Amino acid sequence: MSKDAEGAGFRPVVGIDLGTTNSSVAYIREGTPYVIPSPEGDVLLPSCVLIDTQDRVIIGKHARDGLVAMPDRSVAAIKRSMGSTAPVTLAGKKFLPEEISALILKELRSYLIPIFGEEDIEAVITVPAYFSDAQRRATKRAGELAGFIVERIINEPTAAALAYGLNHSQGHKNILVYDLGGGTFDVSVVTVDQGVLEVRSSNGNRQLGGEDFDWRLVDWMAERVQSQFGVDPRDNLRARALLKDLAEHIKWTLSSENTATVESPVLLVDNGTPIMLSTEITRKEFVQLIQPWLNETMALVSDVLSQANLTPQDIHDILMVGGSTRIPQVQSMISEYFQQTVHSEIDPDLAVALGAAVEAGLKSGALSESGLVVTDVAPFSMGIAVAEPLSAGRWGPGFFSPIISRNTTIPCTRTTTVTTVDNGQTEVEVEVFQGEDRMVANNFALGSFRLTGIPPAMAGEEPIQVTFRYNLNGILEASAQIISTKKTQKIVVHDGLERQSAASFQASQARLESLWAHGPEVTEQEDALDAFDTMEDEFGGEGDMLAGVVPAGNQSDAANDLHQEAEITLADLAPYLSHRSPKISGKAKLLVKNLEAAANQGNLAALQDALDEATDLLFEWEASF
Amino acid sequence: MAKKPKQHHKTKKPQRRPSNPPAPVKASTHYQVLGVDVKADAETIRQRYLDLVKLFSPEGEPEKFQVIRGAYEVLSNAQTRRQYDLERFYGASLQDLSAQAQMLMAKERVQDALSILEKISAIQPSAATYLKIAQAHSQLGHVEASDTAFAMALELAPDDAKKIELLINHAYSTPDLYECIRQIEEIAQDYSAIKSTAIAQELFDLYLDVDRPKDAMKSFSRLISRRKIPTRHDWEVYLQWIDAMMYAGLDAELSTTIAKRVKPALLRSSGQPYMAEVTAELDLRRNEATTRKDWPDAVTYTDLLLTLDPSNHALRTARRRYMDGAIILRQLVGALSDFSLSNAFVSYLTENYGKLHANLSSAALDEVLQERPDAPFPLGSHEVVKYMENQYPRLYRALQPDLIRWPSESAPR
Repeated sequence: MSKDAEGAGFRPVVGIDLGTTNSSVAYIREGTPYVIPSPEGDVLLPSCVLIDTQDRVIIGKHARDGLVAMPDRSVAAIKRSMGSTAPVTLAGKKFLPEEISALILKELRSYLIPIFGEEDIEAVITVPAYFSDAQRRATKRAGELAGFIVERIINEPTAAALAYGLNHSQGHKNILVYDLGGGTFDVSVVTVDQGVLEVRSSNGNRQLGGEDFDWRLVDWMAERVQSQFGVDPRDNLRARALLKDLAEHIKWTLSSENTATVESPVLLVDNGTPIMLSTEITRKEFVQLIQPWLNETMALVSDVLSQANLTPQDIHDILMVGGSTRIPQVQSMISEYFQQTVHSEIDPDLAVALGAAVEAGLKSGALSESGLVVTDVAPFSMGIAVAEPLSAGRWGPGFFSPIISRNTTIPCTRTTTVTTVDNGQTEVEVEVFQGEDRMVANNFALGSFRLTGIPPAMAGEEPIQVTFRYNLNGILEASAQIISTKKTQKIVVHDGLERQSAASFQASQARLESLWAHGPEVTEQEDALDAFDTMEDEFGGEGDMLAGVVPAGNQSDAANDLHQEAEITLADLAPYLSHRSPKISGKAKLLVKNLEAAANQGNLAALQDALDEATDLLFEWEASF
Repeated sequence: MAKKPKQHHKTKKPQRRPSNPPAPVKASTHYQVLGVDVKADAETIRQRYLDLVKLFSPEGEPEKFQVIRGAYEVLSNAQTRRQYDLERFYGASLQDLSAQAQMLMAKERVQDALSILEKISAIQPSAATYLKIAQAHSQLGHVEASDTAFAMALELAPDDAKKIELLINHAYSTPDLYECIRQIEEIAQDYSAIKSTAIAQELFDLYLDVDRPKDAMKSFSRLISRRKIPTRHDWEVYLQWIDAMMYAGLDAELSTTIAKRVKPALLRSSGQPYMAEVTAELDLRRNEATTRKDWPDAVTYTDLLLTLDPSNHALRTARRRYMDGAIILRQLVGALSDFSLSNAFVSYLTENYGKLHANLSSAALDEVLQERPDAPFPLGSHEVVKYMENQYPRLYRALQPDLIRWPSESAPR
């Protein structure tokens, strides 16, 4: 650890705001959170990724410039796709959204080297409070792919409240965090009382943000061009990117001016005719365009207050977070609703990163003297599918019965009792869902398991206890117990999903590693590049992940073979991770860990040893079943 | 998986004195967890909670924190605190008690269940508990006590919708079913108080049970026209409802009435993810109607399908064919009424074929004709044939072979 990370002895833990538009990383130095700037001195890293014509990965502001110049090779606002399994095509290669995010996080990680050196760094990464389980998981994976040990995923408004709470921990205050970012909207009510920061309620919309305003402006401009020239500029990839860029400028201009001029002499060339755009938009017109979204945010504000049993008068302070809160109309709506001016002592762009650093500091011990304690809430209800009586003797399946209701303080454990519906029923399928709809079909399925061995009895006579445990990391453990026989069955929802993907995680990580290694010095080595290209051609899109297992410039057939074998072995080991014998599952976990460590370090000898051990054991296990 | 089992009265088990509910063994009370006096005020409880959270944070001591938080959540809210105090006094949680009562009811140990239910209602009076008390009394034959308990339930019901729900649940355990329905109608007025599909369906069933299908239809169709975007479950019920009404076959206008009510609901649901299933269900019914030559039903289902897919050419063509069939059927009724056979014919057909399900088989007609030899016109006579040719050309063409056949095979006179 270098001299900078003082307070000496604390683990290096950083806080990261992985935003739709910008990302940043912060840490605690001498009891105060600081944002770590890029080598060029910027505190905000635009969340844009570009793969240039020489296959170099470029992150940040230069990548943002590429959005217009090379729209097919650059990507922005990837956060909006997090949690989706649909790949994004970038420079002809397919990436999962979390892989793109991992590239952004890797860039942030490079800023940390001067402070922490190359050692393992733990990270607290923020997500919108209203992010779903899948989105949170994707975020955690992105962090791990970037080489962080992801200590905790925390909610953005909670982070912002922590940044505020560090300096206002005494006394009793109710604060409202209005977080309107690039892609998502969150609102939380937080009570700070004698150093305890208590999230009371949280609500939001994960598809509402500055990006929507930009695209609305793009439509507005496109309609103008279309009425004048009969050409829709949105059909042209480059013109579309240009309009998006113009839209962002309009938004910025209108934050301080009343009118913005839009000038683009050549938007695109259609059949040899240059298509231009020259118009003006007033602040009032812009507000009209985005009013429906703003109204929705206000409806959510009023919701979240009633969930916390508070009125606008009970709110002492309002914390504005996210770049979109710079829009004057947003500020005036909020101050009108609460009859007070909004808070501006913390930079709305940095509040989340600073707050994440505070959480990091609380975890590492660097802030333990502050006495700050935070309690957060579950953003969704979690429950099971049940049948409900429709009328005498008839049952309607597919109803959602919440066990942990939203805004319950976490960690928490909740139990409910259900019964069988049929006479003589001997098993039940416990299906776990997350959401607020009365019907499970409209909620998000988290997993399911079967509880068998119920003693046959009359319908409704054999009670079954279903218990949910939800911890700070958002891991839900669901179990069911037949009360009369004490037979218990359970699943850990998070683990179940993560286990299967151990092998694909490896592949992703290796693939990103190879992309990353394509720095300028590597491009000099023509041979290595050629080798990469050949592989890429051979395997096509997905296949190039194999080529990337070994860092470029260091490839050998033997290493390649070993890594391929490691992947196969990891897949073979996967079923044993959940083996009923704890001895076997424990051993399998250890093997996976060793294999992954050896593969990551590129230590071929260690990898060979780990593989030998795994193969021996696998042979033994397979033979005995 | 079931949530709340309804009562079952299927098994008889020997009556036994209830054993007292076992008091849950608790290491400590919520008060002891927080280390406050049972008379502590809200301020003290809050302060104590804040102090404890700093010692046992969710981060550092997650298990202990949960216990502290659990105690605080109960004691920081005046209502839950009062309930907790009462539960402590009675030694069992309300949830345990009501589960126990439910089990006893299911085992037909009504008297035992009743005493527990009364205990619950003393701790936390609620409409649901009083309804159960009323049902228990009614099972024991205590008419007056049952009525009193039910009146309490009605009084405690928070709104009209809940009252209707209570009345419907009560309907089968009261001797005066009709009075119950009258009360429902009084509260429901134009049925606008009925908001839930499940309740609407219960009422629908109730009306069918007392043989008032028209009211059944009316109450339910109001619900359909009010629902903004019906859910998939709504549609399951709607389809059942359509089936029931079609089966009951009220009168010739029924199909149009149903279609009028259901179409807007279909339009409102279009685009919902479950609509493909609903469409498939409708199409299945259309095919079934076609198979049994039930042309009016086939037209209705086709109309509903066309609402969702107005440009479906094949459907349009099919509808014309069904319409022909339906018109022929209707004309047949008309024609036969001209021969003063309508009453006998229609009642025969409705009895034996549900609703005009007859496929005009000559055998069926013969049967009718033979039973009614006193028709004013001798069937098959020249006058009849001429008359039908003029008045009902389409029917005439459809029936011609039969008409020609009638005189020879079953000439009544």
